[in-house]
Amino acid sequence: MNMSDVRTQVRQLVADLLQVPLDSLSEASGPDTVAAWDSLQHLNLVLVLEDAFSIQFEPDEIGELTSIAAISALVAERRSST
Amino acid sequence: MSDTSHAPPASVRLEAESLARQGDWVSMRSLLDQTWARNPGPATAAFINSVWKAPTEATAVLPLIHILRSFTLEPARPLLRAAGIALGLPIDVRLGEFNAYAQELLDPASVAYTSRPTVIVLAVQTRDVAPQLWVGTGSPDALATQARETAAAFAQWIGTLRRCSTAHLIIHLLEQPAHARNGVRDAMDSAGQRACIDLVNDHIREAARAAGAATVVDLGSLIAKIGRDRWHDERRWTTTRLPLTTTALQELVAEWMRSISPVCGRTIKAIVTDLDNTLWDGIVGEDGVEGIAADDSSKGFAHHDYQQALRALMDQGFLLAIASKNNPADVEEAFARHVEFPLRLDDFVARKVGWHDKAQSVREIARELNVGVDAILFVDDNPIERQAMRSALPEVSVLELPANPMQYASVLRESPLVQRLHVTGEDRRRSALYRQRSLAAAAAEQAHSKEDFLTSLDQAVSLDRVHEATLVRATQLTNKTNQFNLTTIRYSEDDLRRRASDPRSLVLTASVVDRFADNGIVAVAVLHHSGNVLTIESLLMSCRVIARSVETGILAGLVQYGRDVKCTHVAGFFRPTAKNEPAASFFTEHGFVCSRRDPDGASHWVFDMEQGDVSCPPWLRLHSNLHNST
Repeated sequence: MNMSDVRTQVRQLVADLLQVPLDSLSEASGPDTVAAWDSLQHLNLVLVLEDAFSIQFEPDEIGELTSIAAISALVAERRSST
Repeated sequence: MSDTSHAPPASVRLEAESLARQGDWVSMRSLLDQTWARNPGPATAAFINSVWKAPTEATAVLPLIHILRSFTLEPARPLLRAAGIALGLPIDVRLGEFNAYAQELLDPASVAYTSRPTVIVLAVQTRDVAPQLWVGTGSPDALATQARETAAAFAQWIGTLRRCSTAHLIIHLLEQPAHARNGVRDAMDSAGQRACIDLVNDHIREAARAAGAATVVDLGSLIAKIGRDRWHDERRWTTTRLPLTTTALQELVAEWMRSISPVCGRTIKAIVTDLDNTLWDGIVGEDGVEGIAADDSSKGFAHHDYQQALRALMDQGFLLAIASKNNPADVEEAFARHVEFPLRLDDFVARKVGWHDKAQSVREIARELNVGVDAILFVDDNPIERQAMRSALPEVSVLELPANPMQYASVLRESPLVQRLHVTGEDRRRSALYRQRSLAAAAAEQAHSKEDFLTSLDQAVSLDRVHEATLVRATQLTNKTNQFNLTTIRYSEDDLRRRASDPRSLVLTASVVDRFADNGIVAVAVLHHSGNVLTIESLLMSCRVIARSVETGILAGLVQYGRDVKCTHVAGFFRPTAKNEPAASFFTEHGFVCSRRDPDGASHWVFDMEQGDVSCPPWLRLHSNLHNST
């Protein structure tokens, strides 16, 4: 899975979870730009990402998941280090 | 780095989008069920919740599950929603405020009660409610005191829940700590940490039993199944107050579903199983009768266990049937020769052995047993057969078996579709009754006319007021009867008990004994009278006695009762559903006049007792015991 696959999949998972149209999300979308992306959904998103990519985030990383681009970068890094 | 993703594959997404465009929500349900069975985790849940847009979501009132909790359980909500959709039981889930369970449940005006949930979950952790018992600090006296106080608190909470709500209660038992403070000595100590927690749990069980309509969650067995290291996530606990791993959340949601499903009436009635490599190891047509096994050898063990699981379900009232591609003679010989099988050929009340496709077999079995195809669970080791069943009959529940036969039995035992909250005498005798009923069906073919057949059945119908001993069975019938059911109103035990004690209401049960069997209670009616009108609020009858004019006997008894309480008219209404066609002509056939039709299809009917009468057919003996207490 290359970086662009990861990005595509992260965007799809966020759209699924928040129940928003896929094309309403961009690389820059995050908790600050999407109304449905509140702290509760952020916790759910962590579980969704960990499940989908078979990875685990460290507690201090959870606050760094500020946009789809940032999430994708972290997911790709995690996956390459496992 | 592995490329295995737990997110639903693109092919499933495409298929789901296509089904949504076609509006085929029955096939969608089956696809989502299959996807959920493969990976019942958060990524699949998000997918299921986003694609499930069935029109009934917007119009129907969904069963509500209200969760009172002491810790973070928010991520369980999408999992529970998705599990329900996959099962064909969409539900709404609401969480109480974080660690506010006690205030919420003690306040009769709280939303936990005013939202009228179908199920209330009380999920409280040992470390929150009894921290000393969890950590083991303090003197033995202090531990004993905390145990007593905790038990008393639970008794009060459960009692209050029951007083304020008719919802089914799911109560978490307290979890044991991984390590007792006193180490190896604790397990022997009758006043130790473990003994104290056991004591609290005994009291919780007792309070739940006394409350009725309740189940408890034994966390110990759930944790034992996956292992304590895979259950707890202390890192999540310290950051988000979520003490559970994702795997643990999934197990917990599955456990809740095993109560929610039977409470909401989403269970099956018959299990249709394949034979080769499912009921036994090997293929009888190739390996020969001696080459197959379902015993406790290494080869047959998994299949032996699967048969044991089927047997236990049969004993609780689920009907067993066979759909197999085989020569009938081989199958008969296999059962005759292998006396070590836990199941006999006779235990299967319908058998389709031949070379036709299995969807056809399941359709025929459903017709023979007089159950809907959506009341059937299909079990087959072959994924191609399972896929074919999902395509041809998406209403059928298909058990997704793992590749390893050792897990067949546990996957079946853990299905929410085969859980029963009560087992009645009727349930225990059901398979025997169906075996006798096929004799009755044979008699029907031989009889020259329907009347000869009905006369030959020699039926006696007894009408009785419901009482404590028959309340469970009556409630069960109102919740699972779909075909001959005029209004399809579902009642709780409490609903029926309240109506039974109201002098203007009547809840009656009808029992039928015929030449072949004592069928037990097969019909329930709920009535009330006001002024000179006796109103039938609900009348339903088990499919076992459809087309035997038992309903006419019941109505004759009701009309007599109506005259006794000085009524002149009997009123009733029929509310059509997808399944109650067998009851559609009940009012017309018995001389009722339609007084009104509602836009939603419901029709209202009146019978004038001064102008006409309903008499019991000559081939029925009617014993009405309704008058004694009026």
